[in-house]
Amino acid sequence: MPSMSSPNEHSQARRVALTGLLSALALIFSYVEALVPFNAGVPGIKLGLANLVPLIIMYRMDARYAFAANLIRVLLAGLLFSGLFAALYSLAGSCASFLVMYLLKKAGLFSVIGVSMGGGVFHNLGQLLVAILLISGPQLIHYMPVLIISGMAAGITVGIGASVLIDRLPAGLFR
Amino acid sequence: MIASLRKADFLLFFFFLAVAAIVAAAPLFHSAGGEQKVRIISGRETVGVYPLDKDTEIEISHDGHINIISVQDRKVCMKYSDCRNQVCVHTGEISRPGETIVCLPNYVIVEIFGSKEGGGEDNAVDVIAK
Repeated sequence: MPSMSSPNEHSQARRVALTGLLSALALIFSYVEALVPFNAGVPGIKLGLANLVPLIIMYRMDARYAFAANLIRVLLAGLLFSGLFAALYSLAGSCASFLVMYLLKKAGLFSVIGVSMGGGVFHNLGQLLVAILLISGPQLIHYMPVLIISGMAAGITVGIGASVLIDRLPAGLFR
Repeated sequence: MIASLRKADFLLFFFFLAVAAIVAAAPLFHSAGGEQKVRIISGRETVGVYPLDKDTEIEISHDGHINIISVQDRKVCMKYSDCRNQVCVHTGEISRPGETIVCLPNYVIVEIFGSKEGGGEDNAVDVIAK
């Protein structure tokens, strides 16, 4: 770890500040997605641009910071754009997604794109589970194929972006 | 970046596809046992069970929302819904047991079931739903 004048605490303070900045960036992504009504038919289908942030943090810093940034973003976006009830869905989705991405990355067998794809799919499955528990019985399982496919598509798209950014972002940023 | 793809990525890709395909195909394997019926669920309650072979039109109003379900020639479709996304209307016709039309915004679910296996109004699905 090349630290010229900065001891470890300095680096940690930097990282906390950077996590805050990136959380704000993720919130902007959520905002942009909330602005552009992209209705693909089934509720809950969207790109999930905000997932770029936890992916980048996870690979360039640490999963703990990624989790914090993700949680902050989901809670703020839920309160600001979609209401508490929808935030519950988001929270379930993003927690499932984060857990799966963390495990897939830890397994060491997958590229960023694969990790992101898994996250996309489980984001949707987490939301589906909440919908099944809250709204109605297991009939909603019929939504599952659509949600898996759309989760894959979104996850792969975001994963490609994240992959590029993880490679190209300057090392100095994550000291 | 594409070159960074690994074998496990492709395996996971096809695994997800396979799961999606299996879940999508599952209703097709429901054997048509006995007389087939149409169940309509609004909110959390079953509001009606209708025979599939009798043409009819059912209007459901719940919380100020209106859905019209049509049964014709052993096919069921959501003829009208005042919901935002119209997914239920675009689902088109269903005719096999296990198939459903779901209107998420209005909380209306229409499903076909075979009365032999489904056991009428008090089958397992409803017990869980209640």
